[in-house]
Order: sequence, then structure tokens, then C-alpha cells
Amino acid sequence: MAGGGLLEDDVDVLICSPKESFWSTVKNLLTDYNPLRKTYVNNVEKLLETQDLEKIFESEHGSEAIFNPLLAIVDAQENTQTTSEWVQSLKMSYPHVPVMVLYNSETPIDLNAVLKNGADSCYHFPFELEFFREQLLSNLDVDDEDAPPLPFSLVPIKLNELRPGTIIPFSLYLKLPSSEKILCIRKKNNRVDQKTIDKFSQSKEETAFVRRSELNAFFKYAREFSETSTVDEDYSLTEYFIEKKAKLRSLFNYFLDSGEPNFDQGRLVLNEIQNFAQSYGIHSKMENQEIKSLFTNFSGHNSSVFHDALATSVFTGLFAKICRFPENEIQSALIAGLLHNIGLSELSPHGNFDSQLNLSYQNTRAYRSYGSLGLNLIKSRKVSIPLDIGKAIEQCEERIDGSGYPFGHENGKLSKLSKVLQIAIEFNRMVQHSDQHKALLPEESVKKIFDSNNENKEFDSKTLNLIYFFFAKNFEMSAADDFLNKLVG
Amino acid sequence: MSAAEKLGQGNPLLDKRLVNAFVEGMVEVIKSTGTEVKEGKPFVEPQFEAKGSIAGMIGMVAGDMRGTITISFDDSSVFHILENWLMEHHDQINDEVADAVGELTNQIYGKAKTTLNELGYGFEMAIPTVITGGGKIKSYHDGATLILPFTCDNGNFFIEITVER
Repeated sequence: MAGGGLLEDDVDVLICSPKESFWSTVKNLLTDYNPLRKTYVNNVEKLLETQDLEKIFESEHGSEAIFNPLLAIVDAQENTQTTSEWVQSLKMSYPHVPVMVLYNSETPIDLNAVLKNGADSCYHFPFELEFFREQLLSNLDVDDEDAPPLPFSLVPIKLNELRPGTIIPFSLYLKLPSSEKILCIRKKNNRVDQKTIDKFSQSKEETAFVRRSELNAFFKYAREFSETSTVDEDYSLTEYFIEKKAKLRSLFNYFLDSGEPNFDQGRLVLNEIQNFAQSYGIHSKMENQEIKSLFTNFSGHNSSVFHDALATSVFTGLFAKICRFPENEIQSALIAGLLHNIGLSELSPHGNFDSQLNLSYQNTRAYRSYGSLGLNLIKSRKVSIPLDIGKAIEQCEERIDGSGYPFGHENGKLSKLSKVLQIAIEFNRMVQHSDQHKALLPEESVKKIFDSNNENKEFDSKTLNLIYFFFAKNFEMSAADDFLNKLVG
Repeated sequence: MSAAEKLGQGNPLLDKRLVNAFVEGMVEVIKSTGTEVKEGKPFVEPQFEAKGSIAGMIGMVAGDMRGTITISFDDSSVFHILENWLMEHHDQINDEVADAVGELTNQIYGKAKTTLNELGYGFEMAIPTVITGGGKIKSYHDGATLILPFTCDNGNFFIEITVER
């Protein structure tokens, strides 16, 4: 934003859709972004009448205002052609304005066609909410270094990437959710100590935040000073997850696109998914410490569709490894975990515009049928995943006592891989932060599932016992082997 | 002596490993679509005639050997497989069905090729051609054809192997 500062008159967001429900949805979504002025356009013809815009559009505050939009958010219409028409009209009237298109399972679009017609970015909403928010911030460029940070311009970091006694080239912030205040706990170019780090770990969100504009400085610092065993030595941990999620999004986009699928593309995508899953090295030999590190590094994040997919993939792969699955089945476990929640994109978006996807549907049948929806989506996009992976995805919310979804299948009908995936999904829910609960440590989570399963018998006892034993014996694969031998004996 | 060189000496239709590789490829691929499959008893026909109403054909080249593998389906079996595999309901042969049969042929050939090349054959990459419309193709090749029949709940499908000598 030229000159910076949100209070200038020239800050405006065009919200374009013939449906009023879209206007209220996006208004709600942008609540945190006040004092952005939002303007509703319900007719594509109006976009071309640029001379009188300020008179024609009713501003959100009921007054006519200086009108110089910085961003346009467009509803995907009933088809790609109509959406493209809106995008083209916007671009003709406001060539400088970034156009973001929101679509969902009820308004599918051919992404390439819409992008070719001028859209700057497209988001499956709310499935890709986290990316939408990030791009929104980037388009508005509202992170003014001289002003206090806005809540949405802060990025959570992993506390174990801070090293006590070092000087930090970025400021550290604490969010107080109750009062919605933001406190600067350590200013840029000051020393961070253990006491400060402890303060963050005791906060409600159990993490520290840095400004988006200072992320690069943080990455550089974390690569140099972090003592954690990261998953990739070229990246800091926070940076690694940002990169991984972006890569996963590019893979998922193939499934979200309504452009004509074909088997050649499907084969390429499957190949990329296989390479993605292999990149963790879980299928090959690993030291105990490496396994422990993966559990730790993938835990304690904010739950989101894409982080859950990444983490569940790793946890399913690790659990399969603990259970001594052969290499090819560990690979299947990693892929099943990665794709398990893609069916969330097929859920109806109505009433689901909360800050996190997992709020509204958690206990409904519709929500918990996402595995089956996901399998259908994968098939419809002509990606020939192996049968065992497909079964596991379809049965990811089933339970061995028959209390799961979508079919209520009991133990005998559930595949070996699905039983591991079910535990990994439950484990992931516990080890990540969500609006409902704080993250538990991996060890605590396994114990909690294990104790609960003694009463409820929802998960496969043999698999769970093995995982519990492995954690209890401090990640010793040999201990898991002893346990397996006893079972066989 | 490589397996391909051996092929030049004997009749490939009698090479059990070659036949098994295609049978296993077929079973594995059709099972991966979620369809139960049963193998029938192989037999030889003196003249090639594509069975079923849609077929994928691939030219096989390994050393001096030239041949064709044809994967053919009757209507009901291919509709049943596609329903299981892609969740698509079809009641007539169209471009989408043809596209899917091409992919199945490709996968089956790919699996057999991997197995056979590990055994020393030198099969090359090939692109399938899909034939539709009754599929009564005769005299595509002179000579005998080995037929490997399969059944699923809703119909029949076949692998047909012909070899030019």
C-alpha cells in the first residue's frame, strides 16, 4: 500500500458477487482486517461504469467515499465463463488491482481458464483459507514496520527455534486472545533469554509470533542458531513448513480444479505425490533420535487442513514403521496420510466459514464422511492410487467397534492400513493446537489414546499397544521388535 | 544368452514367464480398481479376432520379436470396472470409456514390461491404441493368438497375444 497505514482513504476491497450471501461471508472473513473499507458489487455491468463508482456503490459505512480499490475478491459464479467475465471486467476497469477468486465444491471452476482470463489467484474456500489469508496480506501490504503490528500480520514460530542468549534480528510478540491485545515481548536487536522463551511457552497459544515483514530475518537467524534437529538442514523449521505446505497446495490444486482431467496428468500427479511422501526418508532406515525428532517437529503447530495433511502423513508413516510394515506399505501409509483429508474440500461450504475448518462439522456425519468423499474426488480426477491407499482414505474415520463413519464398519471390514491411519489422525488432533484445545506432547497423546481405548475399544489394540510400547521405551525400535516377538510368541 | 535372444529361438506364446507376467499384470491392475477378477483357462485360436466391444492394443517389441497385445472387454465388464475404479457410470462406449481402456492397457502392459525386463527381456515403451465399435478386427496379424480369458462379476475380458515371426 502506497504510503502505508490502513487508515488512509484509499484502502478499499471490492467484493464481487451477485449473491448477497457472499458479501456477508467475506465481510465476516475480513472482520480482523478492519478498518478496511469493503464495497459490494452485485452486477458485472457496474464494474465497467468506472466514472461514477463512488456514487453507485454503497459503501459499507453508508457514506460515499473516495474510491480507489486495492484489491478485488470475486465469487466464482455458476461456471468458469461467468467467473471469467467478472474477472475480465475488473481487470479492464482496474488493471492494477489484484483479483482473488474464491470458489468451492458448489461453484467449481477451471483454474487455468480463470487465471488466463486475468485472475491473480484462486482459492478453494474455506479449504485453502490459510493461503487466502496469507495472499490477502501480501496483496494489501499492510505490515508497516513503524506502526504496531496488526493481528493478522503475525506469524507463529516454533519456540525451539529460539536460542537463549542470542541477539534476535526481529521482534517477538505475544498475543493475548482474551483482550485481543498484542504485546511486544522482545524488540528487534535485543537478546532473548530462557525466561522470555518460558513466558511464551506458558501463554495460551504456547508460541511466539513474528511480523510477516520480519520473517526472512527470523529464517536466517533460525538456520544459524537453532539447536533443534530440523527435518531439512537447508531450512529453519518454520520456513520448512511454509515451503512444504505451498508444495502440497500445488499438488492438491489438481484435485480442486474442475478442468478436464486425464490419465496422463493423473499419473504425473501420483508420481509427484509418491516423491513427496518419499522425501521424509521414513521408508528407509532411521535412527531412534530421528524418529523422535520427526514426532516433535511435526507436533505443536496450529491445526489447519494443510498442516494436518503433512503431519498425519508423517505420523501414519512412522506408526507403520513402528509396526514393522514393509517398505512399500510404509510408502502407502505416507500417501494415505497425505491425502486423507482432501475430501474436506467436497463438503458444502454453507455455515462453515469459521476461522478453522474443523469447528462446525466436527461431530456431524457429513463432516466425518470426508474420507469417502476424498476417495471419490481422487478417482474422479483419474489418479490411480493403489487399492490399499484408497481403502485407508475411505475408512479413515471408521472405528473398529463400528461407531465410525461413513459406513460404521467393524474391525473385520477395516484394512490394516486404515487402522494405522485412524490412530494417526486421532494422534494428530491431540498434538496440534486448535480452537478447542492446546496441543499435547506426543507422549501424552499416545498415552491418552491408549488409556481411552482401554474403555472404548475404538482403535485397533494391537497397533496401539505397539505404538504405546514404543513411546514408553523411549523410541527404541528394538523394544518394539521385542514386543512384536512376544505377540507372535 | 538374454531372455530376448531366447525368444528368437522358441515360440514366445509358449514362454510361461511371459504369459504369467501379463496375467499377473492384468489381475493386479483390475484388482486395484476394486474389481474382483477370476482367471480362466488359456487357449489358442488359429486366427486373431478381437473379442469384446472395446480393446486396447499395444505393439510389443523385444529384440527380434514383434507382436501385439490386445486387452479387450465386453460392454458389461468395462462398465463395471469403470464404476468401481472411477465412480463413473457408463451405459455406452464413448470417448471417456475409450480413454480409460487405454489407461488400463497402459498399466497392464507397464506392469508386465517391468517384470519381464527384470528377467532380461528388452520390452520398450509403447503407446496403446483403443479400438471400439464392435471390434471384430480380423487379419490384423497372421498366425495364432494366445487368449487369456478373465471374468469379473459383470462380464468377461481378455488378453490376446499375437506374435509376428
